[in-house]
Amino acid sequence: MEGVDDIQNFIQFINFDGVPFALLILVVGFVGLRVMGSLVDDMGERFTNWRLQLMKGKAVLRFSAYIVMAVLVLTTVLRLENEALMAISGTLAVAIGFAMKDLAASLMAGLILIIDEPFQVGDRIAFDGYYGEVTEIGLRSVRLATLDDNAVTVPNNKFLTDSVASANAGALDAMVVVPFYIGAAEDFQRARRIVAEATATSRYVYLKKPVVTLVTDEFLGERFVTVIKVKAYVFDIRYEKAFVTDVTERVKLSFRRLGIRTPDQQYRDLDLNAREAPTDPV
Amino acid sequence: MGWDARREGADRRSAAREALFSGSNSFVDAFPELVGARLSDPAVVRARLGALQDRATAREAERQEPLPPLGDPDRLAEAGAIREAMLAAEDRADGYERRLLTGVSAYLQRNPGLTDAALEGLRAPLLEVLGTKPDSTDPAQQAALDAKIAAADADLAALAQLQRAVMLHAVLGRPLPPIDAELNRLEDPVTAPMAAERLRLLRPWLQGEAADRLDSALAAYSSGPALQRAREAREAAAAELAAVSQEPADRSVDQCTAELHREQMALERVEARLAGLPEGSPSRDRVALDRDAQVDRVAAARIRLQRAQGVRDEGIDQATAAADRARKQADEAAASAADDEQRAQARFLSQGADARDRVAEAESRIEQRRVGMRAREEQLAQAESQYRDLLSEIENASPIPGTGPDADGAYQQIRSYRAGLIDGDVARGVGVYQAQERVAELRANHEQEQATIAEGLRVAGNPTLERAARDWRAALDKEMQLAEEEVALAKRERQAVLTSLQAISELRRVLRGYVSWSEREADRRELGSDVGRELALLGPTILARIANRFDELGAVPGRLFRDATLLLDLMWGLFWTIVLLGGWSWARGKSPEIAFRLALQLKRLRPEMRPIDIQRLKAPATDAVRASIDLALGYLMVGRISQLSPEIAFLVETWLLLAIYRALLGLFDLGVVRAPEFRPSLLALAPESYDLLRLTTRVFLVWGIARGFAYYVFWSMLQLDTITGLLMTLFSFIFVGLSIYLLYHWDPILRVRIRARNQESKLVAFLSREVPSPLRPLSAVGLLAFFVLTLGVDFLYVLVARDRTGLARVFNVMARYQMGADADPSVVPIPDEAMEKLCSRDSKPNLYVPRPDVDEALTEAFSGWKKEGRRGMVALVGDRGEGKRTEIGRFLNRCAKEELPTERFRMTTLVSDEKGVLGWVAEVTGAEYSGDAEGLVESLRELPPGVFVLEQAHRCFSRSVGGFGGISAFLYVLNATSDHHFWLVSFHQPAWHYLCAIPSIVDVGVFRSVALLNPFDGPRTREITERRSRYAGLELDYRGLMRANLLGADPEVELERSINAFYRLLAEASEGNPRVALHLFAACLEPGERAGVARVLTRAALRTEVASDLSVDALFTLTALRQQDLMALDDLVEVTNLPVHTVRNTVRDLQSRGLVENANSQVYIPIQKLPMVSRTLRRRHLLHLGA
Repeated sequence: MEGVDDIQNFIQFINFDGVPFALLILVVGFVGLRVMGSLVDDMGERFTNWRLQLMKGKAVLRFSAYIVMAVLVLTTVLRLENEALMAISGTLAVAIGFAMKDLAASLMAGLILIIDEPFQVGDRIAFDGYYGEVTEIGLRSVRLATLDDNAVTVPNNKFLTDSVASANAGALDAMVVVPFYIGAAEDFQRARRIVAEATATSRYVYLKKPVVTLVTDEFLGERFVTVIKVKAYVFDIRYEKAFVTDVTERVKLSFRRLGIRTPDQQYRDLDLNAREAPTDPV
Repeated sequence: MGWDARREGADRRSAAREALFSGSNSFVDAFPELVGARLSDPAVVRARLGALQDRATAREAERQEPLPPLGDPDRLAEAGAIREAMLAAEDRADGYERRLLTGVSAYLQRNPGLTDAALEGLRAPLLEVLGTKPDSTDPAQQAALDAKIAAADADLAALAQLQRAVMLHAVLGRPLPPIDAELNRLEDPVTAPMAAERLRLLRPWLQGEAADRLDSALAAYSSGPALQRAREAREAAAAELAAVSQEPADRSVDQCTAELHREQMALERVEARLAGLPEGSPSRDRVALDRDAQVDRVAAARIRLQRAQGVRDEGIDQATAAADRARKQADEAAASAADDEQRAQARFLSQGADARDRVAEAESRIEQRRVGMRAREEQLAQAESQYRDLLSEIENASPIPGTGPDADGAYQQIRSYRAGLIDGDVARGVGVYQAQERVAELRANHEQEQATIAEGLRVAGNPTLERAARDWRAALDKEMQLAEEEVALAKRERQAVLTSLQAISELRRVLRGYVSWSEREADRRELGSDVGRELALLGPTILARIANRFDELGAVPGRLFRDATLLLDLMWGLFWTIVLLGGWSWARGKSPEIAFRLALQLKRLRPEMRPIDIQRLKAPATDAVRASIDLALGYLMVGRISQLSPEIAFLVETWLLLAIYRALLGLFDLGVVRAPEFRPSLLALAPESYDLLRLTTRVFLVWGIARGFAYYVFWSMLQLDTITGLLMTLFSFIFVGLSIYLLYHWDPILRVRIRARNQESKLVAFLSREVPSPLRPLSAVGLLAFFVLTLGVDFLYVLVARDRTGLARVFNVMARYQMGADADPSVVPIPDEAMEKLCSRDSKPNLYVPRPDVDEALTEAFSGWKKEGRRGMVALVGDRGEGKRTEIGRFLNRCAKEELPTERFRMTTLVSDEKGVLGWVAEVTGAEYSGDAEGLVESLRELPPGVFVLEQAHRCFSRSVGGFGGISAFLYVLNATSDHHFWLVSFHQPAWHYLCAIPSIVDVGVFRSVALLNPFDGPRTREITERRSRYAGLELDYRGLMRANLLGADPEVELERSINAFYRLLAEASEGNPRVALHLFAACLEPGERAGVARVLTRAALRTEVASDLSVDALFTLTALRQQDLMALDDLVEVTNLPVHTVRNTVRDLQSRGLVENANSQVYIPIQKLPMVSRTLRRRHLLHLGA
């Protein structure tokens, strides 16, 4: 009976005259946000340099709009006088509080994400085994579009406790690391120059930041190999994989043209030589 | 607790007593408790003073007592304040009584003849009469006795009234009673003797006519009928004595004995009466005659008794009687003298003891005052600290309503506390005044006592008295010292209160910013009383400051000998003052020279200035410099002098305010010139405008300075918070009034000025209409705002014309909108011949727009190579159309003058392999090359030194794997031979930026210097287009650029502004590329009204467009072309790493859009489209290395 009384108490504080206006606010707000989102997306495509800033502005605006709309709707629909707040007590308040707990936590976490900026809309992040582009930071959750075009939804409050890696941290460009493996006995200097030239001449490379090539010898399984690793920046994070593909393609073509062998090729050649060795007159 | 009642009672007493001292109240109302007191008795007065002291001591003890445990600190503080107010009120009331009694005491000492003791002789017979018992049943005798008693009673009362009247006259300055009644009493034989005595006592206090009347009346009385009657009685008594022996002896012994006894008693009364009369008494002669007569009567009675007892010899009896009488008189005189001496000694010792007692009392009082003083200081500091903390809390409180401390409550507390301080006796200086008055009274009393001491020593001359005199004198010195210390304590207490008051006033002033409107209203309601309080405090404050200052200055000489720091400070202060004064005087003398030098500096900035301009600037600049020197050095002096002497600092401060006025007016005179005078200035105005502007400047300067001065005096110096607020409000009203007055006079001038502007503007037409006189100030405000707006816009135009910033872009958008650049009317091109000539590559000296930075770089590198043998290897970097070939041509012309062999070659195709590039180098230079770079180097070194210009070196590499071998070898060879040959190599700008970004592959750092062809800004674009237009035979007509301005403007100014805006747009559309600009400019021309005239219009060519809807492949293709400028299709495939068919399709698509052209199997971007392509690629982040 107490619960029924609470519900009756609660209902008497609803301002039914304000419901149409609240609906209007919601409709206008959502339509406005949708239009604004399309506009910002279009602008981002036209002005690639500003795309991430526009996306960030859009996220902040959406978040703020949600909060403003919520406040407007609540103040329009509910009579939130002091007496009303005092009257809403007991089990109903507790029940509502319990039900809204996670939502409130996500809301606060979203606010923190907007302010703290561990990543922003448009960034590519790795989280909980997923890697993809952040497409939205909402009131409750963050949405990712993975490279396989899957949409992943992660509650906001997860980001407060777990580690998240951002590939570009708000910048349009992002570093890409591509390793190349060659046989340990190959001309690694030539190979390194080819890797550097292939990277520097790629149509995706961002040259305001340096192109770095590193050479190391490692065991790859049971095979001793030379690893040439190139670290370069792609001019737009969206072309990350295309950049890797372009560089790899050019490098492989050049290696093949110049006869620089991969570890497999080299080991295979060495095995052949070994098998042919007994017949060697020497 | 009854404190309020006590305080109210004390306040009533104080008010009544203050009224008495100011002459508006009676003694009875002011001191009802003293009405019956015998104030003419010094002992009574001393006792009263002692009682006062006891009460003061008791109050001080009460002051030190802890307050009742109220718990709440606020209530505790409030109770303390109430108790303190009560005690202070009682102090004040008792102070008035002390003042009265001290004055009475001094009066009695100065006038011992008016004490009760001195008048005892007069009072005694009267009292005797009052004590007479009626012993007769005769009604007539009874009536006579009653009349005598009534007369004696009246005489006693009159004597007491006289004593009090004279005392009040001496102490309070009250008028004396009229003497007419007493003079009338002289006529009555019964009342005359006492009236004469009273008049005698009154005589020293009278002057003028009253004194003369009194003298003549007393003289008449002394020699009048009473004296005559006394003489007659004396003669009758002598006759009776002579005839006594002839009388018949018929009386009995008893009768004779009774008669003798009666006569002897009468003699004793007369003698006593005579002894009681003071010296100079007008009755003395008469009473002496009465006594002589009575002596004869006694003698006669005695003879009668002897005759009744038996016959005796009359001669012997008479001799015996005379001898007895003489002996008795001698004994009585001796006894009287001895008594007098003893009384004098006793009085002397008593007075000395009194002095010592007074010192003890004073010491006790001073000690209590010291304790009270410390407590008061602590109380003040505590209150100040409490309110300061409260203010701090309020200042740092959260802005959320209801969470911070109550600002209104705090403000009320501070206001009440401040009012209490101001109303207190201490702040008003009552304590100091009373203490000083006490010192003055003591000084007067001490003079009297010193005289008494001297007299006592002269009379007595014994060791006891001498010792007592020494102690007495020491006590007097100590008493004076203590009194002066009391004055110092009172001053210190007052200073502490004033200092605290100042701090509290400042706190109140700050807190006022936080209080509610109702509190401010309350302030306004209290305005009158606040002002009254401050005014009441003003006098004492000034006097206290002056007194303190005099005390400080008076103490300085003594301190100079004791305090070395003070002496050092004084010396430093004097030294710096002298130095600053010297510097000031020197600088003022040098001001014409300084002004002249400044004018010369100005000439460096504005070379067009003529010598006469400098001369004309000299006089106003000298005035401004002199006033500025006064100002600067004056301020330095104020800092020094304020430490040394605040009074002089105040004068300097006042003078400095005038210096500010003069300096600002001097700067005005320097910057603004009155037509028709002609000299360099910021503003030249017509006479009436100049006069009004100068008047405006002066009026507001005077207003500002007067306001600052008032603030300084009334707040900084006198701390008159409310009065300062009132004054500031008054100044605000004055400001408004002055503004209205000046705006009224500005209105017609502004209206005339605005009418000169473009009348097409509706705003201008509206503003320039006539308005009724009362609305003129209002209209002037609108006009003024309009002028400020137009001035701001003009200033921004100037700013934008000099700056290539984001702001410039914003203004370009505005200019494009205003000029209708986006509108695209039907295009009528200029004749082809003119068009070709305008856009031709002809390079003639008169068409050349200098690039000093490029010239300088090339000249420096060439002369370094030629003269010092340094490396001669220069990169000339520029975009297509930016003038690389022009610069090369000019450079080669200069080299030709040096008689050096010069060669110029151009790479026409893309060659990226090492052998191809080096082979081309060997071919053009005439060197030998056999596939070895080192061999080519050797061969080049064998050639005679020369200048080689290699154009389009960016064609020595291909953006592909393995495409950098050629450029690397090329740079190696050039670097290896750059000390022998001078190499000038031109690069396409985007390609150069690309090479710079890949230092690990190609090192372009081998170039000794790089000459960059920077983009043209608006003015340079205008210069090249106007030169080229003249070369093409075109006269430009810019009038088509003008558009109606919202604000209206001078047509000439508007035209010039439009031209500038047009060229800024052109420079922006062409991205600073002069050849692109010429092409775009040509598209903006149409034939004019007559031949050879071309109208300049804003057309679509000035748009900053981007190419939309391009595929990603098209963007990559354009990026490759933009970077390497010109490429074959195969090269494009290799560079983009796209499939061949994709590249072919993309190029075809781009060709259809006009973004790419094909010539000689080479693909390139047409020059007009370069800015558009660059903008597009930049926005998509594909072109991020410049270009």
